[in-house]
Amino acid sequence: MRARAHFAEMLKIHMGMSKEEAYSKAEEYAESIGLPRDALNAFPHQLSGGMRQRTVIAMAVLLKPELVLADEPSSALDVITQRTALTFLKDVQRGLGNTLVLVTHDMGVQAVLTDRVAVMYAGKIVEIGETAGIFEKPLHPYTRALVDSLPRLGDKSQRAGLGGQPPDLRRPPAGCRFHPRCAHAMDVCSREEPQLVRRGDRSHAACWLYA
Amino acid sequence: MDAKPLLQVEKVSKVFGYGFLGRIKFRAVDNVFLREEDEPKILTIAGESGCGKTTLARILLGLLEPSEGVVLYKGRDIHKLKPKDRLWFRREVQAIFQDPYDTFNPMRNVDAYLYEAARNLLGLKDPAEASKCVGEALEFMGLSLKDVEGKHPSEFSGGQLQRMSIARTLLPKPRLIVADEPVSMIDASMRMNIINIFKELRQKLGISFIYITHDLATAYYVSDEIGIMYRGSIVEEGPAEKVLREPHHPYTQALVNSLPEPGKREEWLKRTKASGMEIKEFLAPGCKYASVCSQRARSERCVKERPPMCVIDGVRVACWDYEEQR
Repeated sequence: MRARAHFAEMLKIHMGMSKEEAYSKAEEYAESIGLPRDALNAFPHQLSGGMRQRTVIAMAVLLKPELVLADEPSSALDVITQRTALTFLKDVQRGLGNTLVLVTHDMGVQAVLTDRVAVMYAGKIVEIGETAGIFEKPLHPYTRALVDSLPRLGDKSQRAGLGGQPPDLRRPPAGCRFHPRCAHAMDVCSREEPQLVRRGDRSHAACWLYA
Repeated sequence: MDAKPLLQVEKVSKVFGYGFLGRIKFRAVDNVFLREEDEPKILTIAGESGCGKTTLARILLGLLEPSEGVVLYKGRDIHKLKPKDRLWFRREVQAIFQDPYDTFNPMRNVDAYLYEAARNLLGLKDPAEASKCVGEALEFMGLSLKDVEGKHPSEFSGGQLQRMSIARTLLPKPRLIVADEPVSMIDASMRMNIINIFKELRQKLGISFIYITHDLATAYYVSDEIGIMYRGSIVEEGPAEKVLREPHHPYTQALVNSLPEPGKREEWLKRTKASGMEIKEFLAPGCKYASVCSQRARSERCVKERPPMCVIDGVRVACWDYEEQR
């Protein structure tokens, strides 16, 4: 199935367009968001990974959604393709004025693309805050470990990963789920689960250090 | 007299078929020269998915025969070894692959693999001797025989399994390890632990590494030398510090600028040009990067002729821009 057929199908089903109408609308739309005509007429395997991802993004925003949920949209791409696909997504988001929820493990992508970050550990949100704050002044020890382990170009200083193993979610540790790997663990951490509490303006952390 | 290099890759290419009945031939690996000296070093091959990194790794491991060129390990052509020497090569050169869940059979105990390697590669028939050897290798990776014995792969995390597969590679006391994307499947919080192990193995055991990755940040952190690959060709190669801090090739420059890092937000969000059709670039007669290259000096020649390898300040760069500096 060619890429344009996917667009046309959506337009037919959701907007009740006829086949001809849908095809011409798809072309018009692709042009308006800077997707090359080549890409529209190609079969998926003929497109490069980046162009394919941009086509998928274009398809996701075709109906002008209020909310776009992108689950690891760039983890299979190299950095250049990742940049073109994600700046495209960001442009579209700005243009439509909608909300983008990005699910990713790539801390670099979070740093350059998002406004706020929620950090999850073992099924729980342990910290929420503005992106700049998360990277400059991480609150939760897990967030700090993640930020500290991030290698950067031009900095060869020794980086340490986190010790221990992620917990078995069938039998999660009692209290704070992070306590077996935490350097700041106290008695209370293994007994009671910390709640998200507000720290500063718009930051929240679930850690007994801040309770 | 100079010591013999550990590994020499001379003019290696691999041609694959594409399209209807594979009639279109394209070079997944194209005219690659590499050299790893005798002292323990970490050489990174970096490039995007589909650039030929893994094909090159398979050629270096002797798993795939090159269509042209030779790979010499300690001066011997690894694709023309006698059966007896092939065992020697397998002891000397070991591999770590991307997915630790794929490395182990889910139905078998993980320690069975370690014992099997000890038996087949080292010829250790005596169980006591084998378990001593396996125990030592595991200990080096921060694990013990007790943790591992009688357990299935599903009882471990990806990071632990990757440590075990590294422990397995250590059994024959190799001289060179080829690691193909060894941390891309591992939880972000533990990646650096594995990367640090490579540094430690180089220092303590004198093992050289060929680290194949698309992640430039870990490559910068760990490697001594780096080669940047694009559509099957090495476009820039030299000391990692120079190549990544002062990149010469327009492709390397684009890679470094596109690296998402905290504090680079404004610059990163500027528009860039993406490549469209991968296969067209593989088949391009001139520079494969020409259709995407933003360099103003780009000429007719870039499109028509392969760029020469120019040596600038110890870095090899395949770009017409540097021709007169050669």
